[in-house]
Amino acid sequence: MGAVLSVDSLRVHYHGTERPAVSDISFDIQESESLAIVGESGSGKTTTAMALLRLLGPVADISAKRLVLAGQDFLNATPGELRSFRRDLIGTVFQDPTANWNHARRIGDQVVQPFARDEHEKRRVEFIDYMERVGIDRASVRIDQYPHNLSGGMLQRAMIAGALLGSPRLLVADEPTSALDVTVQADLISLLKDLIREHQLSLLLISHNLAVVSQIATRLIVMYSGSVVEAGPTKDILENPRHPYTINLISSIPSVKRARKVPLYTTRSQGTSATGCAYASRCPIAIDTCKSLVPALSPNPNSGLGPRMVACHRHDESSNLIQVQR
Amino acid sequence: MSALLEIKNLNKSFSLKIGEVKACRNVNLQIHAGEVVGLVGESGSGKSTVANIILGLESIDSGTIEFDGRDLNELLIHDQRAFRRQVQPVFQQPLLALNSRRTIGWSLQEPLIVHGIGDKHSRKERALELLDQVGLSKEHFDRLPRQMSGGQLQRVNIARALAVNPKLLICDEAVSALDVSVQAQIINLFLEVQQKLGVALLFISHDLEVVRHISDRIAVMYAGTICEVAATDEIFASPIHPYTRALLAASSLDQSNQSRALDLTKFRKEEIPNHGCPFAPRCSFARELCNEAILIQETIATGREISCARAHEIRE
Amino acid sequence: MKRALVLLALALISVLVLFPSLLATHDPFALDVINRLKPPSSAHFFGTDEAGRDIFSRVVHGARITIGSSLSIVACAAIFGALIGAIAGWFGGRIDSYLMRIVDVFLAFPYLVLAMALAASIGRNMGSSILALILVWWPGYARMVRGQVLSIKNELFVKASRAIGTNSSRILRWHVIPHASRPIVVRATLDIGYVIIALTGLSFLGLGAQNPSPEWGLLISNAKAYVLFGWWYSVLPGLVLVCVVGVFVILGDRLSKERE
Repeated sequence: MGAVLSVDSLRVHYHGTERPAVSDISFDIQESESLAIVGESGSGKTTTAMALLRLLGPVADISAKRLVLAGQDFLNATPGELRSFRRDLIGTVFQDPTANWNHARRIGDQVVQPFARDEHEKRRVEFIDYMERVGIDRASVRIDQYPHNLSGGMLQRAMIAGALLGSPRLLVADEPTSALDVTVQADLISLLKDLIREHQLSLLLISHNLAVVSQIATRLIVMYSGSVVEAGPTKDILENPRHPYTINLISSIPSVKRARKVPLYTTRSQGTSATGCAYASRCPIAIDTCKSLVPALSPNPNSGLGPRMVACHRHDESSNLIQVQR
Repeated sequence: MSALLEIKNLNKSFSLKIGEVKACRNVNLQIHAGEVVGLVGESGSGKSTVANIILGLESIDSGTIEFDGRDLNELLIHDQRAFRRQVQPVFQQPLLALNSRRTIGWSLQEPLIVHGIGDKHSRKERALELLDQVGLSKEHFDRLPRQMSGGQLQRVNIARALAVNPKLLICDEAVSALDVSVQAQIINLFLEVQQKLGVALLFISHDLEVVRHISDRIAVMYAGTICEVAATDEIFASPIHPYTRALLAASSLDQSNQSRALDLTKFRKEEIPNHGCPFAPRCSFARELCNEAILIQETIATGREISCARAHEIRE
Repeated sequence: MKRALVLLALALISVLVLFPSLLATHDPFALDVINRLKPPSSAHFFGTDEAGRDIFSRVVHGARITIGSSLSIVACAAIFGALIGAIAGWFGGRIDSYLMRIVDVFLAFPYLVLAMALAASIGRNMGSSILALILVWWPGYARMVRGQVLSIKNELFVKASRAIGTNSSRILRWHVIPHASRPIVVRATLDIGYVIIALTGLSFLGLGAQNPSPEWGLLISNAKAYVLFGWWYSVLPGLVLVCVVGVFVILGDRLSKERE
């Protein structure tokens, strides 16, 4: 079938909350493709990634029509099966390097731990190999060091190296560069791109940073308040956003291409509407329908780079009504 | 025009377990009344140390700080308090910067009480006025910090900083912990503060694009030294210092400047040399003299300063 | 439900301590040798002791002494200890070192030995026991508050206050101490229970209260000679003691679990 990741109608509801954190999300990732999920805090992007990997635990109810990663059914697998799927088929890189390593154990020990004992030696060698590949010097010494001996950038590289063990087919990276200095970030991004190409990996990238996303991801999903509001080729969306939220998001970000010292675009009102489109209360072009009817993801004429979907009742006219400020 | 705040040859070191760390090496910086000076640098650059020193939270090893032409070291206690009043902070974490057990109204009045301004009644009036100025409403007066969002709390912090009518705000990564859309609101608020109230800002950040948007002039720091200072447009159009170039290349959205980027894979922080130019080990323009020369921050054109032994040659 | 019970118990204890005459049925010192060692009855709820005194009334009056003294001990120890701890934590450096060495000295003292030494020098009475316990209890608070202050000192809101221009004493009063106070209250509440046990223990051994005081430790100590003939004499006051200590421990435990 070719799709490394296939999600249909994923829904995540945290216990004790009123609204679901993620409502009916569907998307897939093909082989060697990089997809980014973009959104602000509360959009549900990290919840989506955690739910896909079945890492949320008993705090939430997850339901989906289909959840297949690297050919394995993640929806109905047992915890034991899930652990081995995650170990063998998927590599994960998380946000804050200092928080995601056990500071009381050597990095080599932590990384090979999920594998079977008789494989440990083999995996150590593989890890040293990958550490060198990702640019960590003296890898054979570093492997026995503790996390505090390495800088944030190096720890993140080490995490990427660890994620590659066992030749996974899918790499899931949640804000892999946001805790890092910008020069280290630039380096890590080009490293990721090289690795993806070399190993024919697919990538699911979660980020709030449009600059990073534009450099790595070929396709993009924009999330707002638990739903997908726009999806399509990255370049196309960033140059021609159709959903009012995306348009406004891009307008709020200062950039070298824009005039300085002028007020950025903002909406004063906050929050989410209870009925209809979640963005309606903040949307500058919302009409009555928007407040009562939830817009479905519908195809929007594409630019030839791939299919574009937008969840907005007024998506045909939105780009005429709101100017993206750049 | 003489500067509102002038830092001359500031030096500050910290003794840490790994050894002595020079957080500030011969830092020279000027902030004029009503202007926004952006201070950019990565982690370990020393920019927060500069902020802490100006705010009186750290001592100086050597150098002088002059405010309104007067040397701070020579101020009497009474005048030192008056100086504090002119310089107020806005920190990175909106929630943690406020006492969680006090209402917003109380926190807004703290600087007023401390600096002996007004009486009980007028202080409350002033607090309400401040809430209005930053776009919050009267009902926020009695709220506790945990009942408000990050964006709202940062407005409170800005209001508190403005309470005593300071001439300078020190904003240390003031928008870095905020979501993009909220960040835009606070950036706009800072712009308003400068434009409507004429308050100067020292805006410290690692985010080049935010700094560019808000600053009139930018100073770039690396490992405790000021690499380059110039008007914002100039720094972006024609950066001179190799580190400035590398930083711009690494942050830009388009890839066309990749050729200016550095290969930083093998770099270790402990390798920053204690003499000569701290950037020399990573600099593609480095020569022998860069390791030996005593680095000075020199003015090479109006409003343009640079700390580079080879500045004149590098300039195309 | 539990909360209501605890509050009810606290109310009862307060009455016991403040207005013993309201609850007591007899004069706790009234001798009635003819009626010595009578079992519990409607006239004497807890029976009578070896001198014919009503045990129930003695327990009621003893509450004031035992609980009242314990509360004073904890209050003094907590206030003094917190003060020392706050100064040490805030100023740091030499002051911190000197103060903490003093704290270490006191922490090393077992209260029993100290109480005996004090009893030997000042005399065997409640005063010497109370003093001994205060001296031994305050270092714990000093340690705790010092640790708290050290961590609060580095919080961003304290840093912000300093940057605004607030001076040390105001920061301590407005920011540091309010944040440190909750753990102090929790610990103090728990400590009341432990101090009661320590105090009654000292009296039991003959160091604290002296006859004819109805202090609980002494009471129970007197009762030990009559365990076989008058079970009510030791058991009933003992149960009351256990319940009271239990109330404070439960209260302290619940306070410690409550989040702000």
